[in-house]
Amino acid sequence: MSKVEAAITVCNLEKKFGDLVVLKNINVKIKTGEVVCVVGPSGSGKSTFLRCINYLEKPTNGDIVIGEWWLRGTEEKSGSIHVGNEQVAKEIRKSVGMVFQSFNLWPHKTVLENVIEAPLMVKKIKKSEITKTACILLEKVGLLDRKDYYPHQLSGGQQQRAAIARALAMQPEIMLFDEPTSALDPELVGEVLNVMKELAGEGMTMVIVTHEMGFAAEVADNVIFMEGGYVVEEGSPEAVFNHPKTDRAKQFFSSVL
Amino acid sequence: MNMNILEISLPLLLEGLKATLLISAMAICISIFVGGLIGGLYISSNWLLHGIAYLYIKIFRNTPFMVQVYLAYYGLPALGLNVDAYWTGVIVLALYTGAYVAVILESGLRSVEKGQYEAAAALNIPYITMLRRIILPQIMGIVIPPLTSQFIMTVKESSVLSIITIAELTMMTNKAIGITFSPFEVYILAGIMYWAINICIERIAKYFEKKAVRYQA
Repeated sequence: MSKVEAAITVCNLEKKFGDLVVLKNINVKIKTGEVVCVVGPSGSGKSTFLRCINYLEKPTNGDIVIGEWWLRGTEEKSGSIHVGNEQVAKEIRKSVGMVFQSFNLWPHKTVLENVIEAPLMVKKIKKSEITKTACILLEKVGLLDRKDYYPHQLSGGQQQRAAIARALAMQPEIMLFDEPTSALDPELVGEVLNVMKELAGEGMTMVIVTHEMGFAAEVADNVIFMEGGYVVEEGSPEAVFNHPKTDRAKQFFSSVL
Repeated sequence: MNMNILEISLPLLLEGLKATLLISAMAICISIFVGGLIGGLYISSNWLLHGIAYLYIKIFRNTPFMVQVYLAYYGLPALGLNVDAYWTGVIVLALYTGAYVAVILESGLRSVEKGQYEAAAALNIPYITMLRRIILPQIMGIVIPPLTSQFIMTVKESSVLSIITIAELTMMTNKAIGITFSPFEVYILAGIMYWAINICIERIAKYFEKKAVRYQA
């Protein structure tokens, strides 16, 4: 993927589950190297928005453009344009990594095996070679000494750091984080956020759905506040957190900050 | 036991045992493929594929095995298909077992959290590779015990095949009884042989089950 000004462009994105509209008229531009935090109350569509970006959810209308790849809503009428979505999703996923709230590490594989699985099976990289890379990544997330442990032998924070290493092993240019610390004990949140801060410092383009407002304020270039399926506020953390324009955002931040 | 009874019946029963072993082994192997295929179709979101699997399971699971055997034995020649009794028996036993295998595998596949599939999808791991390397290893611990029960049933159900002239253990047992007039002794011998086969199946399955859940220790 070429380094373009806008890493992700989302136009008029809409997502319906049956008759229920969960995302409506979403327009977002994310630049290369930018860290964007998506905040808002539960059920506001934050996670669905994030999951549309790598096509884990199929958008019903609108467009998502990532690099040269273009995902279209499944309900759009103009001829056969949405036929290629599955193929486009494959291309997009090559450069977009994802970290889940519940880690989703594969329990029957050790940390190292989790990290090398996709490079081994998808990129067909030699095992000796990818093992070396994996060890460097595990060192980076502070888990090299745990590489032969199974996920259930690790704490939540360690599992999430392993999941980050697993995503990084595919050398993505964009990382999506879906509430990466929401399933963690409070005292384990910091270690995961630190790894994410380090990534942000290296210039990784990141889209992070989070309830950690302090983290968002510190790391984000942009904050998106969502409510009821709409993007209600968008701007610098300072602007969104301290001077929200809408009553709903004011009310939300006054209760969480 | 009268030495004469043993002398007459043992060779017959061993011959039957050999046939039962072979028939059961073949039926079990085929049923794993059939069950895997039908189970895979059953969880498909495509209504036609799901429908085919649904119908298959409904038919083979809800009719008596003996009826299926008779229907195939008398029905296939009537349709112009001349399959000999032996292969009719093996195939019907495999198809019948396959329906149960499909249901067991399907429940196993459903027991895996959605996130496990999503993590693989997000990393572009191809569907078949994902099933083989990510999903199946996780469900082995869950599906092996019910599969074991099912395969033991298969061995026992193979006795029904004596009704279509297949010279398996039960038929040879009846033959031996016809010669010796000692049903009690011969049936005990036959029972021990079925028991021995199934103990072996249990042991083998236990080995694989332990191997499959080793990561959880």
